[in-house]
Amino acid sequence: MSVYEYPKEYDVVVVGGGHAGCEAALAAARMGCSTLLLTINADTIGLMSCNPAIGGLAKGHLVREIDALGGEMGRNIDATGIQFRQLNTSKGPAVRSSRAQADKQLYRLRMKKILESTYGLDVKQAMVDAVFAEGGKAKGVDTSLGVRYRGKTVLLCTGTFLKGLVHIGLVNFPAGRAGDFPAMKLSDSLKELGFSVGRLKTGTTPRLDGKTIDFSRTAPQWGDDPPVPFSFGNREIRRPQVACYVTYTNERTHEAIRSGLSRSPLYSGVIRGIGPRYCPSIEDKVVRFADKERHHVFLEPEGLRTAEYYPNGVSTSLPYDIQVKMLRTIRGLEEVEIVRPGYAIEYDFVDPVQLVPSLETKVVENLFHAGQINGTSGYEEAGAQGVVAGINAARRVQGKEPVLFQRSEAYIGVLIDDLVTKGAQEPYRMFTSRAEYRLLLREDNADLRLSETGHRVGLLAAERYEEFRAKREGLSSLISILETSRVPAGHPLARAVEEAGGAPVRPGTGYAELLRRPEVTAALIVANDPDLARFSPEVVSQAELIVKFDGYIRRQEEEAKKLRKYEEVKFPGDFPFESVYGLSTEVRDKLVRVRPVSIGQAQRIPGVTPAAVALLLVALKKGRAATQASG
Amino acid sequence: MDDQRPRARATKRGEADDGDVTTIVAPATPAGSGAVSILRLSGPETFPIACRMTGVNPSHVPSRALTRCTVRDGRGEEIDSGLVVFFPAPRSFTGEDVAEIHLHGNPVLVEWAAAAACALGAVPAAPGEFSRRAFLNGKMDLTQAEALADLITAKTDGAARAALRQLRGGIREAISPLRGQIVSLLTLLEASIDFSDDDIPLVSNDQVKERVSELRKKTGRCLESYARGHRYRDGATVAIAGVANVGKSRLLNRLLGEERAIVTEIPGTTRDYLSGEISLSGVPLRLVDTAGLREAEDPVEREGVRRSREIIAGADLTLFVLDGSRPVHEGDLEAYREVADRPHLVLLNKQDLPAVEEGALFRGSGRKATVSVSAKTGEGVGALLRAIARDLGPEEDAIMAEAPLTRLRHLEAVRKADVALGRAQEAAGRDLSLEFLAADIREAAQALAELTGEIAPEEVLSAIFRSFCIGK
Ligand SMILES: Cc1cc2nc3c(=O)[nH]c(=O)nc-3n(C[C@H](O)[C@H](O)[C@H](O)COP(=O)(O)OP(=O)(O)OC[C@H]3O[C@@H](n4cnc5c(N)ncnc54)[C@H](O)[C@@H]3O)c2cc1C
Repeated sequence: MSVYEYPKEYDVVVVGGGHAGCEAALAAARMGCSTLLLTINADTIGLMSCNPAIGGLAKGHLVREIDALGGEMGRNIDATGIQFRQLNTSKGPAVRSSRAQADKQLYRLRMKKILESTYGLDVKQAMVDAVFAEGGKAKGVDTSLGVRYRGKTVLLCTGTFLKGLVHIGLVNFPAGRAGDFPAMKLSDSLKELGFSVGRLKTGTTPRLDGKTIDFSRTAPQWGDDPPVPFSFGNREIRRPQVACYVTYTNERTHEAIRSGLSRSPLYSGVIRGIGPRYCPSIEDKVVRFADKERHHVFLEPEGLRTAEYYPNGVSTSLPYDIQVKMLRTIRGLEEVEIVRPGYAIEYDFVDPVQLVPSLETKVVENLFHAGQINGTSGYEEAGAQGVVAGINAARRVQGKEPVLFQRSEAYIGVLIDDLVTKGAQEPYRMFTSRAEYRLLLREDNADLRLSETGHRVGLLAAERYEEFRAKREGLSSLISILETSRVPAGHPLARAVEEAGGAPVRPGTGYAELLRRPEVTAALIVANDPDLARFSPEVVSQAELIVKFDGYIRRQEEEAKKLRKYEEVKFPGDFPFESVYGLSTEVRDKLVRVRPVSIGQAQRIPGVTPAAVALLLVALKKGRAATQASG
Repeated sequence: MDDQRPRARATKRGEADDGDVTTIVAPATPAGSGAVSILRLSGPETFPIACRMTGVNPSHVPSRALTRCTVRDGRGEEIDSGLVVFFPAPRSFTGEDVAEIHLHGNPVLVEWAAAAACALGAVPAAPGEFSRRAFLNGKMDLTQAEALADLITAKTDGAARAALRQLRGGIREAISPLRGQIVSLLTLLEASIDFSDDDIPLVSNDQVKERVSELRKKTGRCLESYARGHRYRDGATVAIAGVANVGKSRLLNRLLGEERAIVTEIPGTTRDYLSGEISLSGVPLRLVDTAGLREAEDPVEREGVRRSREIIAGADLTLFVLDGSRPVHEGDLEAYREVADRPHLVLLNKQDLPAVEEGALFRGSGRKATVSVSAKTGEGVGALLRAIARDLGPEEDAIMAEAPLTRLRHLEAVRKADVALGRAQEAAGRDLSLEFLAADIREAAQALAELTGEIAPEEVLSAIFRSFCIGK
C-alpha cells in the first residue's frame, strides 16, 4: 500500500482517546505543543469501559493529583457526577478518598468537547497499525488507511485494544472492548521494534435494564450532602444527585454460578492472560470463598438519561444463559433483563520495566506509553500516567529535562516507580498501602504537593495557581498563628473547650498545644477567635491535621528526606550494569532488565542487596573517573 | 543496661539538604582477626563521641596523627588502652568528620566500644555505608574505588557467614516468629483501610492493642536476651540466701573451691557476708553469701538483714538454701518470702544426711528449679553449676565472638521496632485512627527488615487477597 504522508508534522501524536490519551493530549496541547489525537472511534472519546464511577480508595488521591497538576479528570467528574461520597472517613485523614458516580455519556461528551475546544489539538478518527521509527527514534505513526502522521514524539495510550479478545462463556471474538474494533496490528509493530509484549485479562459486569429491577426490594444508598467536589478549583456540585442500591447474592445464585463453571472460559482454561486478584469475577469469588453465604451487589445508575444499571460485584464471563439465571436469583432482580452481557477481555500489554520514569520507552526514543498498555487497570491510573507522559513529551519537544515524581511526593510517583521498577505481573491498581509515606500523600494536600510543578511546566491555569498560592499562604500564616498564640485568661476559647468536655485550660496555654488535645478541633478554635475567621474551612482543617499529627507527619518527612538523597545519584543512560564487578548473576540480571535511573530506584528492585548497592556506587564512581580521564 | 541505650539524636530540622545526619560506627578491620582492631566513626557527632570515649580533645591534638588514650564507655568504665586519630571533614575517608579508635584485637572489646559509641549517639553502620557516604561526598578516586569493591565482596561473604551463625541462636531466632505476626497484623489493618468498602471484618483498637502487646513481648524478650549476653562481659551476681545454719557459708566455700579458676576471695566488709568470684563457662560470677534472713532485734544484725535484701534485689540469681535433713519451719517460709519473686533456685542442702524436706512448699514465681546438694561432700554441686549456667549463661557466645557488629545492628533494629510498637500501643490507647497505628507497625516492620527480611506492600496485599473476599 502506498503511504500518504500527512502534510503537517505534529509535536506530539497521541494514539488512543481513553483516559490516558485524553489527559496526555490535553497536557501537551495546553503546554503549547501542536498535538494530534488519533482514536479508533471519535464517538468513544473519554468513554468509561467499565464501571460508571471515578475515584475510590487511593484512586481518589490520583484524581486530586491529576487536578493539582492541571489535568482534566477532576473537573470532568465534578461537571458530570451524579453521586459523590467520601470513603474511609473514620480510618484517618490520609486514607480518606473521594468517589463519584458519573453519568457515563455526559462524562464522555464533556471530555470530547474539552478536547475539541483546546487550542492546538486536532482530533482524528484512525486506526493506528504501526509506530514509524528511524534510527531508534519514533517519528510518527502509520494508520490502516495508509496515512503516515509525523510527530516529534509519539504516545501510545491504547488501553485494552491491542489484540483484544472478548470472552462470554466459550464464545470469543476480537474486540477492543465490547462493541469496539480491536487494534490487531499495533502490538506486532512494537514487537518488531524490540519490545517484549505480554497478555493480561480483565472483566466487567452485565448491564441491566433499570425498569426491570424492583428497587423496593433493595436498600438505597445516597451520597454525601452536600457533595464534595474533586477539583481544587470547584467549590460546589450543582447537578441533582441520585441513589445507588444495595442487594446481595445468595446460595441459589452461587448454585447457578457453579452450574456454569464447566463452560467458563476461566475455569476451562481458554483464558491465558492473568487477571487482577483484587477484582475477581463473581465465579472466582464463589469458588475461592465457598463458605461465604452472600456477596454485595451495588446497583449503580449508568446515567441520568439511560435506564441501564451497572451491578457492581458481579463481573463475569460465564455463558449468557448462566448470566440470566444467576442474576434472576438475586433479590430485586427476579425479573431483570440484561441489556449487555458481562464479559472478560484478554489484551496485549507492554511490560513497563521497558520504560524510564518519564514514561518514555527505553527501546525507542521519543516514544511514550501510558495507561492500560503499561499493565495498569483503572481510569485514574490511566489518567495519571497520561498527564505525566503528556508533560514529558512536551518537555522533550521543548528541549527540557523530564519531570519525575518522587514516591514521597505523590501517588503518581508511587505508581510509576512501581511500574518501571517491578513491572506488571497482573493488572496493577493503586492501593494506599503501596505508599510508604502515606501520611504525607493526602487528598487534601495534593495541591500543596503538586501545583507548583503544574505551574512550572505551564500546565496549571494561571487563575488556579493564584488561588493555590493564596491557600498556601493562608495555611502557613494560620499554622504560625496557632504555634505562637496563647489563650489569655478569661478568653471565650477556654470556656468553649471546657464546655465541649475538655479539661480546664490554664491561661497561657498555646493554641497548638490545645489543638493537640483529642477533644479540641481547629473549627472550635476558629469559632472562638474572631481574628481567625478569615481562613477558609479547607485551610482550617488542613492546619488542624498538620498540627495534630505533627509527630507522625514529621517522622515520615524525615524518612522521605533521607531517601531522597539516593534518588539524586543517577546512573548515566549507558551505564554498564552487565559488567559491574562483584555482583551475583541474579542481581545483575535484575539490574540489566530494569536499568534503574538512580541508586534509589536500584535499591527498590526486589533482591538487590545493600552490598550490591555499595558495589554499584563504586562502579558509578569508577565510570565517572574513567570518563573524566578520557574526556 | 539503660545507659547503654543508643539515643537517636534528634535530627535538626532545616539542616542543609542532607539526609544522612546520623553518626555511624563500625569496625574498620575484619572481625576476629589481627592484633589490632580499629573502630571507625563518621558523621557530625563523631568528635564529641570520640572525645568522650578517649578523653582526647580533637582540637588539642594534631589531625591525622595517632594519639595514645584510654578508651572508656559512657559511664567512664575502662575498655582498653589504645590510640585515637581524628580526620576533620572534608579531608577524610567519607568526607565527614571521621575518628578511628585502635583497640587490641579482641572482638569483645570491639563490641563493647561500638556499643559505647552507640550509647553516646552513634548508630551501627549498614554494610557499605562508609563507602556510600564517601561516594556521596565525592571522596573516592579510581584506585580506592577498585580496592573497595574487593573489600565489599569479601565483606558480603563474611556477612553471609555471620548471618548463618546468627541463625543458630540469638536475636534472629528470637525475632523470627515476629515476621508472620507483623504480616498478619498489617494484613488486618491494611485490609480495613484499603478495602473498607468490601465486606470484610473490621479490626478494633483493642484487637490491635492486644496483638501489639504480643509483639512487644517478643521484642522485649529479645532485648533481654542481649542483656544476658552482656553478662558475658559484665559478669553476674549470685546471692546465697536462707536462714542461719542451713549451710550457706559452706556452700559458698564449696563453690569457690569446686571451680578451680578462682579469681579473688575477698573477705566481706561486714561480718555478715562474704563473696568470691568464679568463671562459669566464660561468665564471671560474683557469689555473695548473705546474712540469715530473719527479723532481728540487734541493730547490727538488723542492718545485716537490710543489706541482704539489697543484695537479693540486685542479684541476677539467688540460691535459696534449705536444710533438707529437717522439716521446714516458719522461719524458712518467712525468709523465702524475700526471694520468692526474684529469680532463684531452691537448694536442698545436707543431702549427706537422711532427707526429710522436698522443697514442695517453695513455689515462688521466680523459681527456676530445685537442686539437691551436699555442701559438705560436694555431691550435686556439678548439677548446681549446670543449673546456674543454664540460667545465666550467654546463649549467644559464639555469635558475640564472631559477629559483633551484626549483632549490635540487630539489637539496634529490635530497639527501634520496640519503640515503634510502643508508639502503636499508645496511639491505640488514644484512639487514633487506624492509619496511624498502621504507620507505627509499618515502621516496626521496616526497622526489623534486616532481620526478618523486608515486608513489601506486595506481600501484605497478597495476604489480603488470600484471606479476604475482595473486589466488587
Ligand atoms: C471489560 C473491561 C473491564 C474493566 N474492568 C475494570 C475494573 O474492574 N476496574 C478498573 O479499575 N478498571 C477496569 N477496566 C479498565 C479501565 O477501563 C481501563 O483501565 C482504562 O479505561 C484504561 O484507560 P486507557 O486510557 O489506558 O485505555 P482505554 O480507556 O481502553 O482507551 C483506549 C483508547 O485507545 C484507542 N485505541 C486503541 N488502539 C488504537 C489504535 N491502534 N489506533 C487508534 N486508537 C486506538 C481506543 O479507541 C480507545 O479510545 C476495565 C476495562 C474493560 C475493557
